[in-house]
This record gives sequence, C-alpha cells and structure tokens, in this order.
Amino acid sequence: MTTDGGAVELALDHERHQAVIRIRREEHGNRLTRAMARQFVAHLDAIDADDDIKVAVIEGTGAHLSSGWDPREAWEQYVEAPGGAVKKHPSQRARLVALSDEWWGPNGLYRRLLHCRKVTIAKAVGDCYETGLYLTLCSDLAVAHENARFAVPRWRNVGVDGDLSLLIATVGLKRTKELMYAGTAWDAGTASRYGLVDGVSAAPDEEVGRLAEMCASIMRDGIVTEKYAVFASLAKMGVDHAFAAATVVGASLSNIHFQPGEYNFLADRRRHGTAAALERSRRDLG
Amino acid sequence: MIDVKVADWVGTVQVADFAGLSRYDAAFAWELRDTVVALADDSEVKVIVLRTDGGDFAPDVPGAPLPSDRSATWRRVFAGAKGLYQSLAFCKKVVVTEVTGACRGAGSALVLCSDLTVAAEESSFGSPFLAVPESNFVLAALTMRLNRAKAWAVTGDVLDAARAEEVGLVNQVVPGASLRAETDALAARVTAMPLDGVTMSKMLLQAVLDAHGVGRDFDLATHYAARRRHAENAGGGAL
Repeated sequence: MTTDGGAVELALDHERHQAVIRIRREEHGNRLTRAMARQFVAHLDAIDADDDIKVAVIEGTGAHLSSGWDPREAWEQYVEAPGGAVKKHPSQRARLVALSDEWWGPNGLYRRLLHCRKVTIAKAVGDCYETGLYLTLCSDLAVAHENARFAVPRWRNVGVDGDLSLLIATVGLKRTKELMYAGTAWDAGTASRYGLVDGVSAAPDEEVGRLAEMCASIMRDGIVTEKYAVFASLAKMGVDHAFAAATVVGASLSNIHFQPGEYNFLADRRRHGTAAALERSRRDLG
Repeated sequence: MIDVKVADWVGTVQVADFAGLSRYDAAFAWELRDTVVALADDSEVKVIVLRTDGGDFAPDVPGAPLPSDRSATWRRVFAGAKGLYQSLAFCKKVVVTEVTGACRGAGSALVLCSDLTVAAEESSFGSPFLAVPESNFVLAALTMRLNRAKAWAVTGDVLDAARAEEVGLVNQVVPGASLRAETDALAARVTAMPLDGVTMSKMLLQAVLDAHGVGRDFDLATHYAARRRHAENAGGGAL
C-alpha cells in the first residue's frame, strides 16, 4: 500500500472544544492514499467518541486541500481487496469491496464524514479535486480560499463514479451535469454562487476560526440533535442509495473498454509515469 | 423538417424551431423522438445537440390545442415511457440544448429534459407547466431548487437568460453571435469522456433521478392533462 510518508493528523483542543483533521502530504498535492483515508476515518471515530469535542476543522497542509486520491493505487486497491488477486485481473467483487470499504460504504471516508456527529468545517484551499471536492461536499460548512478550484478530472478519463444525489441537492441538477460531463473546474466565486461553499475569503483561517468558535459555543445536545435530524434528511434524500450506486458504477467503470483514440489514463501512466499522466489528464480543465 | 448530422462523436439535430411540440404535432414529435433514439443507439455518438436554424427555439403558440389525456397517440408520442420527453430525460447519451430567442411551452420542457443548455443573451424562458402537462416538475425542482421551480410554475414568469443562468436552468449564457461556436465547444469537451463512460454515467444518473421520483412525475402527465381538460371545460382557463 502506498504511503510515501503521507499522513492524516488529528489535533484536539478540549478547552476550546475543537479538533483539526489535517491532511499532510504536501509534496503530492495532499492526494489521499487508502492508508490516509483509514486514518481520517479513525480520527472521525475518535472525535465522535470524545464528548468534549464539538467541532472538527478539515484542512490540508500547503497549497491544496486535496488534489484527489492517489492514482498509483487505482489498480492496487482492487488487487489487494478480498478476491482481488485470485486471477490476473481483479474480480468484480474485489472492485466493489474496495470502493465500498475505502470510500462510499458505511465505513468509507465520505459516508463516515457525512455522518460525523459533530460539526465539520472544510477549509477549501487550492486544488479541491476529487477527494478534495467530496471532503468539501460532505462537510457541514465550507470556507474557500480565493484560489480554490473544484473539479473531478478523473470523470473525463473514465466516467462518473461518485455520488450525485448530494451534489445535485447542493448545487442543482444542470450544474452537477456540467461537472459530470464537461470537465469543468469551478473557481471559488462560482462554487460560492452555486452553494458548494458557504463563503470565500482571502484569509480562510480567520473565517474558519470564527465559524469554529461560534459552533463550539453551541450546547452539545443541540449539535448532536441537529446532526441526527440531518442524517434523517439524508436518508430520505436517498444519499445512501446514491453512494451505493456510485460503488456499483465505479466498479463497472474500472472495467471499461476504450475506443480507438480515447484517452486511457492507466496506459498513459504506465508509459510516462504518474506525474506526466496527471498533468496531461488535467491540462484542459474548463 | 429535421436535419441530422453526425461528426466527431456529436449528433446534431437541427430544426426550424420546436414549437411543433407545443402544437402537439404528433408526426414531428415522433420523428424527433425516433431521431434521438437512433442517435442514442449510435456507437459513433456521445453527445446529441438540439438546435434551431437561428430563430426562436420554441416561440409561443397562442391557442395551442389541449393535449388529450384520452388519446393513445398523445400517450405514446408525448407522455409515455417511450415518448419524446422520457427518451430525452433518460437518454444514454449527453443531450445539449442550444437556445436562442423565445423558449416557451414545450421548448422549456425540452430544456429541463436535456443535460446541458447553452443560451444566447437575448433568449428567454417561459414556464412550461401551465400549457404542457408532460413537463416534469421534479426535474425543475432538482434543477432550479424547489422554491424557484414553484414560483416559475405558479406565476408563469418568463426568465431572461441571465436569470435562467442564475437559477441553474442554463449552464452558459453567451452572445448570440458566438452561440453556435460555444455550443460546439461544450459538446467537444464532453466527447473527451470514453464512450463506455458516457453511457454508464448516464445510467448512474438515471438511477438517481428515479430515486428522486422523476419517472413517477412523468407518469402523472395523464392526470395533469385531465385536470387541465376539466378546468377548460369548466371555463376556468388554465389550471
């Protein structure tokens, strides 16, 4: 499993009732590995179990919140899942298990963040691609730096393999489709206008700090009660259904056949390396 | 007359305008439906563009006939699962509408069923809900948000292009002179996605739309048409 020294750290401030979950893999644009996603989930478990913590801030070190998940694990994650190494190509069940366990399922990163019992605030800085976009989407509040950009470049390479229900509820159907099909990247102002983030700031640390202080002043019962009301609404909105559908379609998309002339990221990566393939695949984001 | 071209993964459907749908011209609607279905099944097509010759996308049709909820033709061509609107909303390929001028009645229903919309600055969008019972309110609510969709449906307000973009009904508003080029550029961007990816992404979206009740709302078209017929017979005008 790839780690490259990347880590997700947890800092607790019981006196101020605040936690910080910090993605630390600056030299790789804070791209998340599976090991880091598991660390992230473990920190959410710790925060949920800590009665003195009311608010969790999600941030990255350096210039970006997160520019995606680590493409070097794109294939490895299936091979290492149960049933993944039985034959030359990972089985369909291995692909489903990998996508569910790490990302979309009950203990996957996104569902776990969405169902955190405490208030979560994302600080969206720089590239908020793929993982970075969904960390923003699954948080309760989001403040964007003026330089933030939101996109899912991978969708242009393979097809749409992420949640749509939450995205549609947040920004609307046609804007979701723009992100799905057109390889669009939204700047911070557009993200704010569409409702993906709650505000844009040249100094997001200050604004996130202000929101965290405010939320930490709310009584514990009030926070958890409101969060469970949100969970009930999410269930009614079919978000769990959409996450499950994303798992199924994501597993199928890992098996697609490319037409002549179509761009194949994994093939490009094999020939030219990860950095070159990433650069090429993201070059013409709109 | 429906003109169809296929090039570089894009199927372009061009007509004089789409007002025939507001007039319940069944022959035109069925030909358009067949065209869309054929392009959706074409392995050389990833994107379907619906455009007009350059005039109004769908001008108002004063005194348009009522759709008949008792007509098998209306159900088959307009309201049914294999009719025009559901063939567009659940199409296997990405559908782009290019709107210039007036977009009224069935034109706005087409915009709601399409995936992406590029509009000229001078275009405007009338609510389809009073005149076109096949219009899908769930799609409008998902697209514009519930409060705006309700206001559009109840007031029948005409949205100018800037407002349509602001509420999320259209994706881009561009000068009329560059409309075609901008639409073509958007369609070209979509073609970067693998063909398998396009179809599977649309299947994922269909599952989500189904879960939100889009299909069920299409099923209610017969009910809405009957309500409108009763209102007209009672002399009450629109619903």
